[in-house]
Amino acid sequence: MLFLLFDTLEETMLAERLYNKYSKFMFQAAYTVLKNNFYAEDAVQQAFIKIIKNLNKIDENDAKKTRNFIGVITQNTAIDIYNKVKNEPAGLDDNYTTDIKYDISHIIIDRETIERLKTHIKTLKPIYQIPLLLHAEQGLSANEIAEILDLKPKTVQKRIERARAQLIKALNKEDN
Amino acid sequence: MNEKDQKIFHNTIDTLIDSAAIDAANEIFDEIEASINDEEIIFSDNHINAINKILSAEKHNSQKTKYHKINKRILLVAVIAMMITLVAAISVGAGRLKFLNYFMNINERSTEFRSDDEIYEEEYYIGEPPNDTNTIIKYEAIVNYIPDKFQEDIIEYTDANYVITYRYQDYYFSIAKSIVPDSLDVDTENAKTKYIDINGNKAFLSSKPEVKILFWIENDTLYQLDGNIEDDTLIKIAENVK
Repeated sequence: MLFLLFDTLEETMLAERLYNKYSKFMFQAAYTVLKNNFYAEDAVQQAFIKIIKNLNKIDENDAKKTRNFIGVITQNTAIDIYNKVKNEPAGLDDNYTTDIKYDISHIIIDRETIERLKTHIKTLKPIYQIPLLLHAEQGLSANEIAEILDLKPKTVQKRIERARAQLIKALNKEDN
Repeated sequence: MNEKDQKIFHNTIDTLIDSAAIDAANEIFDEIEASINDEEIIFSDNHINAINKILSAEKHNSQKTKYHKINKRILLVAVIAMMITLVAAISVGAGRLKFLNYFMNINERSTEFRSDDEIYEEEYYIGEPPNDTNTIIKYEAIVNYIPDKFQEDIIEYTDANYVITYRYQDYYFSIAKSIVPDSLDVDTENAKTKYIDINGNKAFLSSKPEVKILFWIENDTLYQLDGNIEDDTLIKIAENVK
């Protein structure tokens, strides 16, 4: 009957292992956003609950990917707390428009372009950066990301599209 | 650039962005990891308690999920075992018959029951037995319960069976005792059938408005009752027959 126990017991052990390994990393990730111990601990607790709900998306064998997933969840949670504390809405950039067509024909496909993109990704607003990282780096679908971030799938899709558009705009601007 | 080329180019840019995203994520979190000062991060008691509660809740939920999964799997195994037993029961002729009779009304014209006993040749005598000491009434039925107003009508017997019939107006019932035959055909067309208990013996009852048939085997003797009286009355007579 052991096979009947294994999967859920393993999940409980995984949750504990993850916390023991990444608790300080999670705290640091939250602290960089919140700059407050109390709120950072709160973010760690809330993020841990989200991570437990998504243990099936974690591959312990890929340490970097696991760490990055935990980091993204924690920072997203920290940003939510920040917005609540500051009473700031977490809305989209109202001035943003996707109507402008960016010329991509001149973009050179090379390592340098990847480096430039990387720099621009790091400067994206969290509202676009986080869904993009979960999609592009973690390989999650819009539905999966929506569940994690407590958003609608269409909202997630929109934010990923806007993130991409912003990156192409940034490349265009540099080239011009 | 035509539309097709545009699409290819966009897909390529997306691939670059995906690749850049991996690098970006690694750099962002490498920096955070590098900035950790273990000595400076000391969690409060409240935080430690909160995390322990979260882990306990997770263990509890896992237990519930585990038991739920176990119950589902046990149920599945039980259902499969039942299906196998059912198939095995139906595949055996006698079992299939008993199974079918037990669960369904038999719509065939008759139901055949077979036993291992041999069929004996029969010679019938009607009325009172002759004063022939060579004729042994081996299967005489003693009827200890006769419904009110019913009178003995006919007695038929051989050395292998004994049949007594009672009548009242248009109603009748017959009681037969005999050697156990090799096979027995029972009229079950449009009849409701079931197995009941008669004095600790498993009995078969076939019932339709115009005739009810009840039989069982006791001490290597076949008892048959038939008639157009109520099932309950027939059963009561059967319980009081020797």
